[in-house]
Amino acid sequence: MRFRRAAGWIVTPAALGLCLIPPVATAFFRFLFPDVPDHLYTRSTMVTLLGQHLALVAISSLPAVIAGIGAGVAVTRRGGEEFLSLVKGAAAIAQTFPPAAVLALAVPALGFGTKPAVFALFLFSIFPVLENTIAGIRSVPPAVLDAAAGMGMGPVVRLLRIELPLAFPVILGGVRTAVVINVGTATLGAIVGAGGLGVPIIAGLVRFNPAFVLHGALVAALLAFVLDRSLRSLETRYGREA
Amino acid sequence: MIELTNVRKEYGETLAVEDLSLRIPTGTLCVLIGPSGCGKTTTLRMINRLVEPTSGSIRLDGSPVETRDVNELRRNIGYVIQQVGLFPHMTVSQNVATVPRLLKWDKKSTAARVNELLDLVGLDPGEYGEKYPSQLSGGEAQRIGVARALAADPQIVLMDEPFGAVDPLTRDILQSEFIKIQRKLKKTVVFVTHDIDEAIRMADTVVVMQEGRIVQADSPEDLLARPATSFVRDFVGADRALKRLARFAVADIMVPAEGLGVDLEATEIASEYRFPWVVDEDGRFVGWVDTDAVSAGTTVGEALHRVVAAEFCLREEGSVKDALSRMIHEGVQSLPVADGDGRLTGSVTLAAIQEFSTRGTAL
Repeated sequence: MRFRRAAGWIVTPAALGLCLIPPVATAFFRFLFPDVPDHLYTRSTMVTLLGQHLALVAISSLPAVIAGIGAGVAVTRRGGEEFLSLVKGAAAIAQTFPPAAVLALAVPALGFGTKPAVFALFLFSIFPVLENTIAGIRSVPPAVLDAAAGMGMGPVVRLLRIELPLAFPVILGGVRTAVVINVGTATLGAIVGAGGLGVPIIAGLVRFNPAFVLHGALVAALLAFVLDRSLRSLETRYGREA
Repeated sequence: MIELTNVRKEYGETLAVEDLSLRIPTGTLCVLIGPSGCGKTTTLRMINRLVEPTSGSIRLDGSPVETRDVNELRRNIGYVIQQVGLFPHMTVSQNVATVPRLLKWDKKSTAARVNELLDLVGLDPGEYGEKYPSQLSGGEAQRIGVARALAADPQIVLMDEPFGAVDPLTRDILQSEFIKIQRKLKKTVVFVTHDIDEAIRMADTVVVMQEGRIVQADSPEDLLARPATSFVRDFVGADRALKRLARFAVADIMVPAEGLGVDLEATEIASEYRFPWVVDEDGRFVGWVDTDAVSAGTTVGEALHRVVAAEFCLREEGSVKDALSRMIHEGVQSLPVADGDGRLTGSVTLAAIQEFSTRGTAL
């Protein structure tokens, strides 16, 4: 078990690293696809594309995390419960809407580029964070809240010192889900010119080059793995303390 | 002093507490008792404003609770609940330090106070301070609950079935430890329970509630001697006479007694009893003699039926109920009372217990 865990920490990032080194990637794809003329997408380096991809994920996830936690906190306050089903419903609809459609609808309003991509990714990330924030706060035992109130903690102190710390591992689970989904979905950003790892995928699609497609997909998948693992370790570390 | 005057609480159509008036003198322990839904917990929670009364007034030392800032009020009132409600993500020390931290005490005095309180509730600060609540037994958790409530030295402590969720043996220990703490600290305690034995054991005043009203508020002794209604009589139970005897000490009903000296000649025994008690030169109880079986020429010491004083004699602080139980068990009409050194100090007779029980007052 320990071996497997250590292997996970080393193997996935190492594979990701190798994918970013042009000669290594070229050799690998030449081996896989000997018949394809080009084995490496050269308009941008994979490192640049990875950087764009990470930026897309980060810029969309951060406000989504803030909005998701904020809305989750709001609807679990006294007086906020009435909006609970409304907010959950809206977030669920945003989640079920096809990402490609959101992109298509956002372009007329926001133009081409990163803006529509960030907007679509933002919408997709809210729901898991919101859902887990609500679940995490709800999981705080009523007796704990009663004791906190009875000892003279006001609503704000209760939220900051009791509810959020206790809900934190669950909220982090939601953030992890959102980020992992985002890494995959962000490849669609290339359609609207947002760059990222979707660029070689689409280029490969257009030029019938499976090496480009696989390269972009592989890097995105490995990135999702690495982020998932890092956030998960944060969760268990914090969860063990609580 | 806690004063509730015509306090009423309605939840929509339902009446939880109906025009309740009660005075709890400073330094006493008042138990609110009654069946589920009688309004005892609601009454308790109105004192620290976790529940706001529909009408009526609640005053603490004359100042109405509704005029005070709710958090400031609660920080000055200890609060203990059945499920304890320790904060699972904080250590025992951090839990106990909750109210001092809210009151912005400095770190040094908070730490000192935490250690003092852990000692008070019988847990070693070095061993328990850094533990998390999940590592504690039910009894330990509730001790921490009590320590946390007492942290900022509040004059008033509210306890809602604090020992209701632990096993009977632990409950018994927690009760006697809390009685000791209460004797020392003299807090004004409001204690909710549905356990009549617990009420009788802990209370200075027992307030029996039924359907949102007080049916009787009395000392445990008077409650048991004179239940006001058939409801109270049923509630205190058919063994109320025995429960009542448990509230009194042997010292309350014992009479002085003398023992025969061990050197006394058998012929000189002049006792109204057949089995007089015998003491040694220092007045320590050593046993008894059968006056029908002693023959002339022997001393009391030679005819002595020796017993172990610590086992045979009653103690002054023991309960009258236990004394009665001993008499029934041993099949005797009277038992000697001895002090810590085994010296005979008096006697208790079955007749005295019976008379005491029927008259309903101490001698």
